[in-house]
Formats: sequence, structure tokens, C-alpha cells
Amino acid sequence: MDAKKDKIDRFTSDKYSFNDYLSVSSGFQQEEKELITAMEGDWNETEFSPAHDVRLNKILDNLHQQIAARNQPKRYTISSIYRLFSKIAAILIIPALITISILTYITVNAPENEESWAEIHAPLGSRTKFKLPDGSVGWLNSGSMIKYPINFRKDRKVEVTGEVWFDVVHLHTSDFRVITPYFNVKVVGTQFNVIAYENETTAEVILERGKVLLLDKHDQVKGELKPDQQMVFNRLTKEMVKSNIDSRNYTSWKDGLLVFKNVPMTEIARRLERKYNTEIVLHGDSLKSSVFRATFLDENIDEICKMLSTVAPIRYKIHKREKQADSTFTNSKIEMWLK
Amino acid sequence: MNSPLKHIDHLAVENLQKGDIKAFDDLFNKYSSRLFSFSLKYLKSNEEAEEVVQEVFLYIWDKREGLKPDQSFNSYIFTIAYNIIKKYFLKKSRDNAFKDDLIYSLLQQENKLDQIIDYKFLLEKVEKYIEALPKRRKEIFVKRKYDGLSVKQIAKELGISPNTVENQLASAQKQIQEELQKEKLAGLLFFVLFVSI
Repeated sequence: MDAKKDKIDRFTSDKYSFNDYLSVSSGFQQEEKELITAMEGDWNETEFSPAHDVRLNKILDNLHQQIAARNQPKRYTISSIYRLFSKIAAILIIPALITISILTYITVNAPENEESWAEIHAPLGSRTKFKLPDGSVGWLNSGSMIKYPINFRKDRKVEVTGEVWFDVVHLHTSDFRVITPYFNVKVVGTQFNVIAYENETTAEVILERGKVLLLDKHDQVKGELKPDQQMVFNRLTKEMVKSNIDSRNYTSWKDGLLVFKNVPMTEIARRLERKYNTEIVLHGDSLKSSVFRATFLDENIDEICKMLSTVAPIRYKIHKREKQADSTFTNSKIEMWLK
Repeated sequence: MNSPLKHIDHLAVENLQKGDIKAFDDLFNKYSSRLFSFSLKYLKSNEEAEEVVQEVFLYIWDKREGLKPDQSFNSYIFTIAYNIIKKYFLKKSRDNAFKDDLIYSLLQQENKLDQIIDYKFLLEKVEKYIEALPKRRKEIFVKRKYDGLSVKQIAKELGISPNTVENQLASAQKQIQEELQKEKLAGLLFFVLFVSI
């Protein structure tokens, strides 16, 4: 056994014979205990030293790239990287825009493939602008996703969750279809807003301009919308209710505005929750049914609360995000009362 | 040596488990240079030692959720490193098997198997002599030794008889061995220190 160890020692010190080499080689081949033990001893004696080497920095860079590539499909898993990413994205929409341009570029230039889809996400707390291969554009609101096939120009269909505003290019040759988990929308070149968040009981379509047809999941026509009309789909009763509205109230989020005209506090709270990734608790029925008129331009949530409390008899308390025992953070939470 | 180290790694490993890239960087900075020198000792190649470092840490990242913060990270990283070094070592010795055979038979003839040699240098020599073979002979030799084709296959492919293939192979082998033997006069079997950049 000692002879074996001597051979290994000579081999690693570079002053070795061919026999030493063969001995190490057979050690690896046979998974010999002596070799493993010798190597483990060797490993523990190898000195720690700070990584200053250019070589190692290059490796670390490579690793970061590979790790980033691996994380891409799982962008929505709760991890600290994602949290960091969403914070940054909330401040800077620009990198998202660049990503989308690249995505679009790749999509346009990629060989067409039946199975492939492109996905665009807007992380919580941010808006993302997108452009589809046919020239249609739109905005994704906080926490929303749009998915479209790579051969989009042949078959103009997109799948969405969350809130998406569309400006669709009119083409005689092909329809534009929006597929949500609850209903489908057939479009004839128009501007409209789709809201289909997975955690909310209602889903909506709001039409600004043009014409859209609403279909159920079996593609049966259920209704038609004219400009400034809204269709609300109740997921529990499966009913669709049409109403006349001012579409700017609902679609101005894409311009960074939050416009409320005679809107009850419950609706305001819901929209603020969505935009700022926070939880808003309203205390008392009279507060919930109070109707407000207000326009906010990309203010942060603290400022919005302050403004609300100066124009209305409202008192509020903001609970900051807190680190929990498992190192994840709670969502921020805001409580409101009528004075 | 183990207990304070273990204590330091404990937190980093716990954070890594949750996908903390900072913890990953910390562990990389702590272990990578050590891992690099260690791999170099067994693989004798900077490029391969780099690949080992990269592969080990990528593996650690991929398997981060199964990490056990209570167990020694030092031992864990050794186990991964051992397996990856083994993989590289065996792949290389498979690739070099026929050259090893040539060197082995030469050294055995000369009774020099226990002499300190510069193995890497010898391999390079063999490589050089293969390159220097006459074109047809080299083609046959490469097809047999690198591509692993059978004598029959080569004969069929080149439209010659299997006997000719055999003869060419034998000549190639002989030529390389003679060249190697000549070279020993130039101090081939004396110790030459590896220069690792």
C-alpha cells in the first residue's frame, strides 16, 4: 500500500516513471481505495488561497452565464435572484425592452418551428412593452405574461395571463386571436385591454378602438364589443356582463397613469395591489363603497397613500416587507380606515 | 482544521441551497484556486484543470437543493472533484491508449519502465512521428488507431487487400518505435520538469 502511495506521490509531483503513471491509471480504472484515500489526503493538504487568478475569474464569469441561462425558464420561481431581478426591472424597464427586441429579432429570424413559443414576462411591480412579429404592439402590466408561437405570422394567436393592452395591426389575410384561460378574443385590428389574472375571480376585456368578438373556450361567439365597452367574465358563474365605460380609466396604466373617475375604493385598491405588488386591506364597509376621482402618474405607493389621505378622510398604515424565518419576504401590506 | 472551516461554510451552503448567487461566489472564491491546483496535479493540463473547476461548480449549483449544510462541504467538493477528474483522466488514457502501448513497449525493451520520464513529452513525440509517416501509411494508421476501424473496413474503404493494410500498420509501428529509440540519445528519458503555466 505504501508503494502505491509513493507512486501516486511521485505522479502528482511530476517526477514519475511510466510505471507510476500506469499505477495511477489503473487506480482510476478500478476505483482503488488507496488512490481515493491518497487523493483525499492530497486535497486536504492543498493550500487555500484567495482566488485572484484571471483564469478563475474567467471561469466564474462562464459559470454566471450558464447559471443565468439555466434560470431563464424558471423566472417565476420564488428565489432571491428573481426578487432582485424584479426590483431592478421595476426601476428599469429598458433592459426588458432590450430583451424583447432581441427576442423579437430572434423570433423573426429563427427558422419556423411548429413546437416553439416565445414568452414575454413583466415581473411584479413593472410594466413591459412588447412588439409582435406582425408589428402589433402592446404593454404587459405587472406580473403578466404573453406567449406566442414562433410561426406567429402564419397563425396570429397569443396566450395571455394577467393584464395586457394591445394595439393590433389589421390584416385582411388573418385574424388575431387572444387566448386566455377563461375566454378567447377575436380581433379585427384595434386597441383593447385584456385582464385575466389567475388569482382573481373576474376577467375582463376593455375596448378602446375598433371591434372585438368574444368567444368562449369552445370558440362559440358570446358577444361583441364596441369602443368604450367592457365585458366582465365571472369565473364562478361563467357569466359575461357587458357595460359602457370610459376606456381611458382602464387602459391608461400602459402610459404609467392610474386614472380613476368615480371608481369605488375596492376597485382602486385592487388596481393598486396589482400595480405595486402589495396587499391593501380596507377596514369598514363605508370606506369600501366610497367613490373617488383621481389620476396618479407613476408615483410610488407611499406617495399615493399620502395623496389619498390629504384629499379624503383616510388614515393609512404601511407595513414594510419583512424577512420571515425561511428567509423569504412577506409582501408589503397597507391598511386603510376612514377617519 | 475541519471544524472551524465547516462552521464557516455552513451558512454559505445554507444560502446556496436557496439559490443565493452571492453564497455561490463566496464558495467559488474559497475553493476554486485549490481545486485548480489539485486537478492540475492529476491531469497535467491547464485547460482540463479549468474544465474540472467549471464542471464541479456547475454541478454544485445544479444540485444545490440537495446540499446538506451540516456535512462538511470540503469533503463534498472533494468527492465531486474526484469523480470528474477520474472521468477526464480515463477519457484521456482511452484516447492515448495506443500511444501508451507504443511507449510501453519501447520502455520495456529498454528496461526503462521505472525511470523518471516526461510522459507528456513522450506523447508529443509519438504524435510527431505519426505526423511524419508517409501519407498512405499515416492514413491507414490513423483510421485504425484513432477512428478504431477494423483492418477489413480499411481494406474495403481504400480498395486494397487486408494484407497490405496489416503490412502498412506494422511498418508504421516499427517506424515510430525506431524514431523513439533514436530520440533517447537526445536525453528523452532524463527527467524534464513539467512547466505548468
